[in-house]
Amino acid sequence: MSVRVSPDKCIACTTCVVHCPVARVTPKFLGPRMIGPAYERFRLLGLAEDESLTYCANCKNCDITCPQGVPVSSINMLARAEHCKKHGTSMRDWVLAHGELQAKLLQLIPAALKNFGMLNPVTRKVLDMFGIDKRAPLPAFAPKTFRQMARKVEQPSLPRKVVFFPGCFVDVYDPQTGLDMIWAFNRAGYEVITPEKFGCCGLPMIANGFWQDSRRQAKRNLAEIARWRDQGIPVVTGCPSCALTFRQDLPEFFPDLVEKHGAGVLEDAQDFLLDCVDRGELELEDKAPGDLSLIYHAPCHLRAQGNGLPGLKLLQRLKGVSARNADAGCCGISGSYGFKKEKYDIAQEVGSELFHVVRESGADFATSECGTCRVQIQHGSGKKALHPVSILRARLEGRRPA
Amino acid sequence: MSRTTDVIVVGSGLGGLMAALAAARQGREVRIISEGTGCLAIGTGCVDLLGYAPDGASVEDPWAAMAELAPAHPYSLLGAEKVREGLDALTETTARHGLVLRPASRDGKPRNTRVPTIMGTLKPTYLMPDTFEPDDLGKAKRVLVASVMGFRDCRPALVIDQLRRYPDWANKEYFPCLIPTPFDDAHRALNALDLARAAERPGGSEWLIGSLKERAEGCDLVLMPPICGRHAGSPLARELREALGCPVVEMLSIPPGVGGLRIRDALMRELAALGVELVENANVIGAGVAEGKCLSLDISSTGRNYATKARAYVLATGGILGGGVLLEPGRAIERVFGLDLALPADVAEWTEPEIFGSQAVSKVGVRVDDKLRPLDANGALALENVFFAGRSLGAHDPAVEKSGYGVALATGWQAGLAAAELAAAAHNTGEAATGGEQ
Amino acid sequence: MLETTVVVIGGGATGMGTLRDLSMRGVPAILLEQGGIAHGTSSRFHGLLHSGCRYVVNDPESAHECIEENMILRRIGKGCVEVTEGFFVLTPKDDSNFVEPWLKGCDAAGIKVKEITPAEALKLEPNLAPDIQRVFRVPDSCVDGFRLVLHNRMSAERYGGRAYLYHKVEEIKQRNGAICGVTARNLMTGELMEIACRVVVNAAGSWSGEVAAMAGLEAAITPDRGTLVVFNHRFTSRVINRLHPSSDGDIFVPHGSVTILGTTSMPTDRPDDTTPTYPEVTRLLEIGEPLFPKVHEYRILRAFAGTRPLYTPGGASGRKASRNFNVVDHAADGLDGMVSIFGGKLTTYRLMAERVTDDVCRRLKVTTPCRTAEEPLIETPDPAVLARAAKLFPVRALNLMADRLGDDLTKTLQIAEVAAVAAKNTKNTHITDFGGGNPLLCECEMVCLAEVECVARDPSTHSLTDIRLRTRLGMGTCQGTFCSLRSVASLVEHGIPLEFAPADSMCRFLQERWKGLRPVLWGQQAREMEFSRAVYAGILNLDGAMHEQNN
Repeated sequence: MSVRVSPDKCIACTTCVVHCPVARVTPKFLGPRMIGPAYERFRLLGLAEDESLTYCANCKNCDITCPQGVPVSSINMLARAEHCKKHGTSMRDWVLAHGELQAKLLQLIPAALKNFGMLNPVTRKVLDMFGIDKRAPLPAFAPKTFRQMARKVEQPSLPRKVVFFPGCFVDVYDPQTGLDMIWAFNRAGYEVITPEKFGCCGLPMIANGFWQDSRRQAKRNLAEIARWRDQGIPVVTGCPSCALTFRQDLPEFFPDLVEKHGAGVLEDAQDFLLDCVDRGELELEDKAPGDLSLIYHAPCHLRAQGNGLPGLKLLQRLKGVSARNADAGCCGISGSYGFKKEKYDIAQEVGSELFHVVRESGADFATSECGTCRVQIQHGSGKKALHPVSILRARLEGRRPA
Repeated sequence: MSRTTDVIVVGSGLGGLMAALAAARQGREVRIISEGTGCLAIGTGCVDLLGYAPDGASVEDPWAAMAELAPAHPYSLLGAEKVREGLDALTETTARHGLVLRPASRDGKPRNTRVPTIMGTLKPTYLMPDTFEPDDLGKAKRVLVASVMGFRDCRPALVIDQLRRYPDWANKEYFPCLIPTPFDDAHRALNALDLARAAERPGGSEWLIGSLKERAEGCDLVLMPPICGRHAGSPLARELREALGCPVVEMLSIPPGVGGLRIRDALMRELAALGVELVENANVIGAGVAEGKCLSLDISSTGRNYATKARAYVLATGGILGGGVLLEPGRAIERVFGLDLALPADVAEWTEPEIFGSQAVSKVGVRVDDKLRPLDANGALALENVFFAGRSLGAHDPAVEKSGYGVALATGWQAGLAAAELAAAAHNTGEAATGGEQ
Repeated sequence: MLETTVVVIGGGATGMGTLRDLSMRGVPAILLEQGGIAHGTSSRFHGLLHSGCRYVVNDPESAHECIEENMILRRIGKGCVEVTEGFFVLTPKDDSNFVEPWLKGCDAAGIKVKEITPAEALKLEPNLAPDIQRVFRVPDSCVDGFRLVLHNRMSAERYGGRAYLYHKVEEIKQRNGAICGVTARNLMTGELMEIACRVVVNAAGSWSGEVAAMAGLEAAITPDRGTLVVFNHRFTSRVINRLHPSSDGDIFVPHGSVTILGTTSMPTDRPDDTTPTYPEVTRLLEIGEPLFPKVHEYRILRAFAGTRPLYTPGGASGRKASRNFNVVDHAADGLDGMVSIFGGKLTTYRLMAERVTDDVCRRLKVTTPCRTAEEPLIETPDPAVLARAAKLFPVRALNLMADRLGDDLTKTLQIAEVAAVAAKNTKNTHITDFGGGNPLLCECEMVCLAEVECVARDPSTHSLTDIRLRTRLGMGTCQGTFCSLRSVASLVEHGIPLEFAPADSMCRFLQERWKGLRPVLWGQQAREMEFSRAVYAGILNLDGAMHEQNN
């Protein structure tokens, strides 16, 4: 791989170390500055990789807090890719990086059976030996994928259209959120297109060092996004990590592909809906009886996008809803990071402050745009966590979210 | 993010946070745009106002010394009264979150105090946490200088060696002390923040008290690195003081800035309660300007550019370090509006041979009027709805004059008030933000 | 009164190489250096170990010497030389007619050159300009000049040679037209040192004219100032030369974790004229740009300058002056026992030393042959020692450290091992550093406490700058912001004094860095500088302390 990120911007001010959730809980991680820009100078000198790199969760808090604009996480992920290319990757990491593919392979098996197969105690013990912690909150496969279900949704024929990029989490584990999204867009006067060609955004592959696989995904996705973009149809996603991957990682890692297909920008669905409200396309009439109190968690990958917290704003516009930002840092899961045996405890410790705030909040629900954040919050705090759009739909439909 | 707000504050250092606080307290809708965490993540827990006069003389009463500053100095532009307003706003806010900051006083007059650093030097500062009496420093005869094993940034031997070189600290008795670390087997070298967090964990206060109790016996002052918790309201320093029965002073330390983070913690909590919106990781790269007004700010973030609008803007983008002032070979420019900042074309003339001399380059910054609005090269008002605060302002060198937090908070507070007033007026006249809402 | 046979004046590569050669041939010798190791030109150049390709057209003899010495140094100086190879690159701005005579010259000098396509070159060095026309691979390499001198010293000391640093020669004594001794002043203590000897070797480089004058001799030495720029990272893995007649700023040399661009050429009347200027830096960047189009974006850590000792008997100067060297026996001038070595370049230092030593030995009737080309400067690190060190030092950077330390590796390891035991004995079972008691002080260049301590205990170490030169402490990104404080603190704790009080030591160290920053004070490095000032002045009040403390 010839792509390199210059370490020149770092002035060693330690701000990233202050805000790194992993460095906070474990001294095993040398910290973003050391592993990122500082060590990069030695990578260029040909020094072998420092083992502590594997502890970087790619949560991007270093990027968010760096006052000098150093893309620390990109340096780390590139280094990880290089390392994996040289030294190989583990089967466990392959499994965690390729959730979508597994879902496809297992397509013919009924979900109940799949989940019994994957989540029963015996399998979990095997997975544990294999490196996936038996306590980790592995999500369950949905009976049908979102896109299978979306095909059955009878949408009104509307002049305005959006393309929806569901992301693996919604597609494989959480189709309901995707259906709620279709509902909300229909309500705002947009017909939702859910192309079959979209695949995983590639972030799990990047984070686990599967460079080539991620490139393959990027090729396919960018071509597909370009097709819609050229027709003037916006492409939106409800998943912050997918959006960030397209915004930051792909141009950084595969500049040639981005040059070929143009920038593959996924717009934030929540921001899009908020704009619909501002334009008068979507009326936020909160018909539900009683007030609803929410504790909101801002996913790190949303914060990294420099666009504020539109999902939270959307909820705050609902009359009977009080939504408070937990503002308690990273949840710890970072995609598949928190599932790994050697990282599970770290992830739980990282998320402990958030879990505490969520538990103490007295809120009816927790809410967050990111699927794995929701899984982790539910696991750590015991409070049910929903996507903001699901709450929006429930309120507008005049019912309690479920 | 195309939605128009009342006041946009660019930057989340102390200047930016104070501006946001001022505007929000006026009832305005405020959005902070931040590229990275500002100065507080690397600063100390004490507030400097003015430690040295322009001629290098040590300053006892910063309020009096302020009058002697050059006319372009931010303090001179504001006047002492307005500086005091900002200072009061800060102390009142941090106190609300459990962090009481106050100055020492002599004969009823507030004055600077010289506080020890982890290097064993003394630095004049103005506001200090109320966990110790400033007079304790002078009166102490037997001083325990404590640090933690394996903590590279603070070695008692150096602190003692250095303190002894000050005439008024030379005749004290010193006792070095290294307490065990609270960590098990670790790979990474510890920093003050690691220790401050460890101290806040269950068992943390027992660790501190248990390790220091015996050693502090007979001492009338304990100096230690800033590790008594990282939150604004951490009771650790007080607990420690009570348990040891003598004053405990946290020395000023190099980054990570545990003390600064405590101040930041208090301000962020206050801003969250006021509903201030924080947009992180957003880099302001330019602005739409017409007829002497800023219409919008151009944001670049993670591969995407967009514009954001407000009725008034506060630019607390920092100086050279924070990136508000960009130095290029042969010139200096303000980064958002591209204001040309006066520096000679020959880079050699930017500096003096002595590193701590009076550096032209360190005083470079935006020229403003007494309302902190930017002026052009001819001294005419450049933008009427933009206010500059903090290190982006020229004519001061906080490192040498020890005025860093002071200038930031005073100008930030006043810029926030002015922006709020302007935004309110725009509301009342029904003027939508420049450029109009969509 | 000390007695010896030969006094060598000048602690650069040539002088130290001569001390080594003399010592290896069994000739008692003492070296005197007015500054620290390699304080002159040997540490103030771009670090290129020439293949000779640069000289093939104008100076074929130098070219031939270069390639031979290059190959020898690769063998004997493994800890100092990084074998990188080099490219000669023809850019659209260069005259393509120069290629043929250049290739012929390479062939004549016996230098193996291989052309590759620009596409292949770009694959190997992706930061090169995409519009380069022709690329030739040449056997250039990189050498750490400072370390080369240090390792020569270590080798010389193993054979009984002694080097006195910070000793300035004040008088060269003669009796009846022959050398009889030297008087030097210890600049640290002010004391005078008398040495009786039969031969004086003047290897003072840019100062050799002054030394000759001290003996009443005349020498046509013109110091020629060269400025260089250090970039924060290694954007090239190879030496990159522009393929054109020698000029300013056309060589990029990767050097450990940084890249160096050099060099300008400007006659000066002072051998210690080493303050780089802003116009020189902009000129360097301008000439470097056709090779690396992003050269203006790369962060510059600092600029520095050195003076070349050009030997100009005919009056030629600057780039026209020969880079060749001359051994002059002043017996012809009526002073017996005085030998000077004028001119030359670092790549051929060993050969120069050999020629001088040959001359001296002839006079002394010593017939022992020169073996400096056969024996390595320092012994290859013992794998067992490295294995022990791996437990106490950052394991990935172990070889870098071993190369830096040379013969001091074992000593450093012992310090770390003692500290580890002490850490255990404090009943503090919680180990927080590498192996306990050996924290990483400089994170930018990965320097641990034990290494700093070992070097600081060396009698020839007086300042943080001396420590920096040996360990690379403070030479990385942050230029000493964190590590100078940590180092001074640790040294005070371990009772190892430096020449100056702690605050003063730090201030001088930062001041030294400041000098190199001033002409390049823009972009990211300016932000770094403001950060450093915010820490040392804003937080620690080092500037105030300088006036308020009693020292």
